[in-house]
Amino acid sequence: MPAAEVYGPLLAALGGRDERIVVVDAGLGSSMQTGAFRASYPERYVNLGIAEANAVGVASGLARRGLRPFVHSFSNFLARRAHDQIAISVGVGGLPVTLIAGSCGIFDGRNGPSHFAGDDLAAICTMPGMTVYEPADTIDLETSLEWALASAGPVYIRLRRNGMPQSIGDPLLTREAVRLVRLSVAAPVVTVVAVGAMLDEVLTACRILLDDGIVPELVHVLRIKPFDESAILASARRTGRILAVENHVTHGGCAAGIAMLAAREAIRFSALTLPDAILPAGDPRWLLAHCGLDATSIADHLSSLLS
Amino acid sequence: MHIEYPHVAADLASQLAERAHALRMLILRTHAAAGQGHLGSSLSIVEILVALMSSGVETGSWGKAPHGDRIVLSKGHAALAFYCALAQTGLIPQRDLESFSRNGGKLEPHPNERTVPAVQASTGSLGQGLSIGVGLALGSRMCGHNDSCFVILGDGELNEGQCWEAAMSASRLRLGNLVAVVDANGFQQDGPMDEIMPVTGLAEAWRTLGWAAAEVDGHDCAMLLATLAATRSADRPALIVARTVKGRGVPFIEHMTESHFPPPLTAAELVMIDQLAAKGTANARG
Repeated sequence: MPAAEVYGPLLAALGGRDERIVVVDAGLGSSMQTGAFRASYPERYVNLGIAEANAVGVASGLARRGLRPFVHSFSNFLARRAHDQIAISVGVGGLPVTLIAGSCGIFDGRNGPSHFAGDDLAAICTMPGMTVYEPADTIDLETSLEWALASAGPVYIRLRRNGMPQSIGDPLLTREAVRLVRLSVAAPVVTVVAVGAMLDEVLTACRILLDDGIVPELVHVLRIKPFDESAILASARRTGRILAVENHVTHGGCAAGIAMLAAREAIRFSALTLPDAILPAGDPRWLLAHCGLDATSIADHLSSLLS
Repeated sequence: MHIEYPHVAADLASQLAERAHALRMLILRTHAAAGQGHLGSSLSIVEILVALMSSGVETGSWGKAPHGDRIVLSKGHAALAFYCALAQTGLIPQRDLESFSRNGGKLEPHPNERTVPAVQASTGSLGQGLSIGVGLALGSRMCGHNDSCFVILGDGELNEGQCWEAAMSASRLRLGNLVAVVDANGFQQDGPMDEIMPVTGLAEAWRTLGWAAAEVDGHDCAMLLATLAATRSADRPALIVARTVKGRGVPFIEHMTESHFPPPLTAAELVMIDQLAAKGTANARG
């Protein structure tokens, strides 16, 4: 049974509040959950078929007319196939085109390596003027959509299409670009950075550690670019050690950026990321364990790191 | 589609030809001053630019407002010609041409909307302009304006698959406010199209896709104008295949691969070209 749609209703609601929003599909509308928007606002919906480069170019033209296009496809078909169109047709003019990139990393890995990108951040974050979000839950997602709509330039939202939690953690989790979460009143010994959708697993790993008497401090990165280093620095100066956990390969991802920050500040750093390998197909839980990114593996890694 | 030669007033045809000559000389002088540039493909679109700019296209919004007619230069390497056309019509100051292809200058070798607001879209990576044009035409319609969008493409550029994606979508969306003009000069950077990757039967192919299409002498402004008028319809995008000569107007680079990025003309050569064209215009009048 397909997972409940969490993105589709949010998009339709956003469409009801701003008539500049145009949804552009590239032949994956049923996967990208655009049906509710299309049903409500057919005059502001267009499906351009299986042609991502054209979809991005058309969206740039719509943006030049003062509209706010949201282009939908899988991360690999946007960040890889339409990379040059994002860079030139959208990027040079700094146009407010929002790219909704599904199937990022291993959370949508059932279809194998042709259908998900574990390297899309490397392609997208290198573009000047690009803003990048990776929401961990639907509240994050709603926040990202709001911020994308308010943005004057291009935005890339790394969307976990299936199985995104409704709400992670306790109400203390405020919605910030980068947020610090203190899990205990005791002094923390390590700063664990959860990048985007890894928050769920990392939070569970941190609770395992707390049960074992190890106190981590958690930092969640919702906005990957532009990057706000203040929360990570504030925590790392207390703990003296950073572990970054990311659903992306090491090169060109958020963890790589945090590594540079750690090097500058002479703070010990390590990371758990996707391996430099062509990954097999598998469901999210299996792939998380396969890549050592499930909560138990993260907790084990931290325990051995700190012992 | 058969289009009769237009019975335009002789003085209008003459005005258009003189305007084209002035634009061609402005391109040559700007190129000579810069010492470099994509000259051959700039010279092949001179009459296309003059015809489009004389076709009633509304330019007052360029760089100022989101609505109004648009001209997108998809074959961005002909930016030199486009800038000169903007200067000729007062959309950028003539003195800005001095910055063409200078280090850090506003007028870059390929159009950049960031540095020149009157440029409708940043191009240069070939194949992207028609998609942008589809978006401009569709966006205008969505906003209830139905402004026209003209896209100038190269025939070499049509090797890019994205052009065909855009062509499919334009007819599917029934964009009667979109016009594609292909500068069919028969060359790409590495040589004649026929020797590299020919694009044959273009008008027929796009008619099959749902476009209205016509072929025309791309150096005849009056005929270009008449063809534009005759080919457009309310619910189909229009393709004009303009047969042109790469390097047109400079006899010693016409039809040559080397015209793509040639050395600048000398002062004596510029005088000779000017006189040659004036003589040609006089003969045409005679």
